Amino acid sequence: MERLDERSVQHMEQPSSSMADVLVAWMIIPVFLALVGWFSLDVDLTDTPDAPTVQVPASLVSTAPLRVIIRGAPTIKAGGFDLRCSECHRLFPSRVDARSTMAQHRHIVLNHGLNDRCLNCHDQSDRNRLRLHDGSTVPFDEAQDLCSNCHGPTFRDWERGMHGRTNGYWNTDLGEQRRLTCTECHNPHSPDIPPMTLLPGPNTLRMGEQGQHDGTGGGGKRNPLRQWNVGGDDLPSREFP
Amino acid sequence: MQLPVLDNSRFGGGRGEFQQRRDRPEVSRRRFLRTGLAAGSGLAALAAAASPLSRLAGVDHDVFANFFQKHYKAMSRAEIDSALERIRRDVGRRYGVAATVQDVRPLDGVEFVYALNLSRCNGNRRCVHACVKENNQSRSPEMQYIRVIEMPKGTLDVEQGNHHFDSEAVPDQEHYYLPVQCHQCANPPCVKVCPVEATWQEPDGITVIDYDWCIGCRYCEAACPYWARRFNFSDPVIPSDELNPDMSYLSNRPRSKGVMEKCTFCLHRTRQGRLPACLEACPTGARKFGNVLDPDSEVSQILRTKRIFVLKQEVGTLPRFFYYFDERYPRSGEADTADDSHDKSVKHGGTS
Repeated sequence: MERLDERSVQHMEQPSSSMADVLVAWMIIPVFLALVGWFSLDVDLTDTPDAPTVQVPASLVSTAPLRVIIRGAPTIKAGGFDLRCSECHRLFPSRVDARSTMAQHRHIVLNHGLNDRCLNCHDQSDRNRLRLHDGSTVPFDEAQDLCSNCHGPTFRDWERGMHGRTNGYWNTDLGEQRRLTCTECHNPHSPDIPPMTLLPGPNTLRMGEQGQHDGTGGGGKRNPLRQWNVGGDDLPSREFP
Repeated sequence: MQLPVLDNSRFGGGRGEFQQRRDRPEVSRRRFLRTGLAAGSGLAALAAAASPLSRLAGVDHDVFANFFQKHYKAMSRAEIDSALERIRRDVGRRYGVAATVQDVRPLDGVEFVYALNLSRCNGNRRCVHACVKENNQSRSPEMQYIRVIEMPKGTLDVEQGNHHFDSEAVPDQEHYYLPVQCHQCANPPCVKVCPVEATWQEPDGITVIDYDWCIGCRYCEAACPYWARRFNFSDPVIPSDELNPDMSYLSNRPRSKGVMEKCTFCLHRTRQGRLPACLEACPTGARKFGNVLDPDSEVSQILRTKRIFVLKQEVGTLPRFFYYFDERYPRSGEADTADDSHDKSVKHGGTS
């Protein structure tokens, strides 16, 4: 470094330096002019890798329960009339060991483990209500009392708020808290939460390369960079069938 | 040896020339042009450099008030109120939205704790995007506080995780899902490294940032073992119609380029008794939130009765974000490696 300085100084101190002085002085002008251009054009040399905006429709992050539960007693459309369960079942009493393979209720897929008899939960004499193990009955919208007959630990957790979904306020002094009941998330006939669609992954700066997968499962089919359009083909219109 | 700058002869300041100039005071044509051009272009450069000032001066006086704004903790009530009013005006100018900007203070006798049930989380990322909307995070470049990591079953080594996972549906049978966000540590390394004290821990346990005081050095980002802090590399872009008008000074008011931001447990909601946005959006009910000082709160009961763990316990950050599991039997379709003596129907009928 020192040696280099020395050499350049020697060069400048040569007799012809008056000519070099003039050149250096004139060079100030283009430098200033370049600065004028720089400041007035507001040149941005940095390139920020902005990804296209990912639009996730508000409906996909809604706080609504997964299922709308039946209030009171369910009705069924038959012959143009809304009929309560008991109105048919008064005429057609079911066998005690009836399973889901009935002509009338084909849309019900019973996938509830060992619990594969209708009358384990539905009351035989009053179809508008559910039957507990002790013989008493509860309406459909109080199904947690029935579920607790088998799912004791989960019911205990739910009562204390350790299981299940809560909406509203954590502080019940300041507002209303709504703790969702069993059937607002679980389909009682098929209680496993069905697989869900996946919202787009991160495209955040410094989150690593896009489309990076560990190769162990499922990845690579969809590009998280892609635009998500409301009502597009990519998004199912109903996600919890 | 003489340095070139100090060498008078190079700049025509040598004795000989000085003598000459005194003898001949009139300016040569060349010298006049050279000096004139240099001075002219220099003035033009200065004017161009100062031109942003003229843009600012025309707008309003908020610029100067913002410049002289004190640290959040040093501001009086009146100063905070005028700062909130300036933020409101700024939001109106930038987004055309009439926002309500509050300064929500911690509640007495409250310490917030988050608990997340890994047995229930299925990695659907609803929380991530609910958070983005609630907290006015930049859409481009994208900013997300929550990172859902897809983890191979049987390990807690986050090095094996993948946050870019993508599949038709979740969950899959080989993975579990580990959402990570700010753990609101009781011993926060990010607060310790901040050279200007722009980030600190509030009495209710939430670590907050004064966005106006942050100098953008990103020390805190490097210090955080959970990578929970995000930096605004460029001006955040949020569509006006997606802006959440319910804002607070320390949480979700719009940020600017060059400052850090992070999860604040939605303090504008939670300090008013509401649940955080990520929790309300979670369709599986895996997220639990509440006051750990209340022995009957959900989180207190979880900490007492569930099997819990914190991420990277060995680094000593004492997080207020706990992960827990349910004790349960294998679900239908899952292999029961623990006990093969049961018959198949019993396994599938296991209650949880």
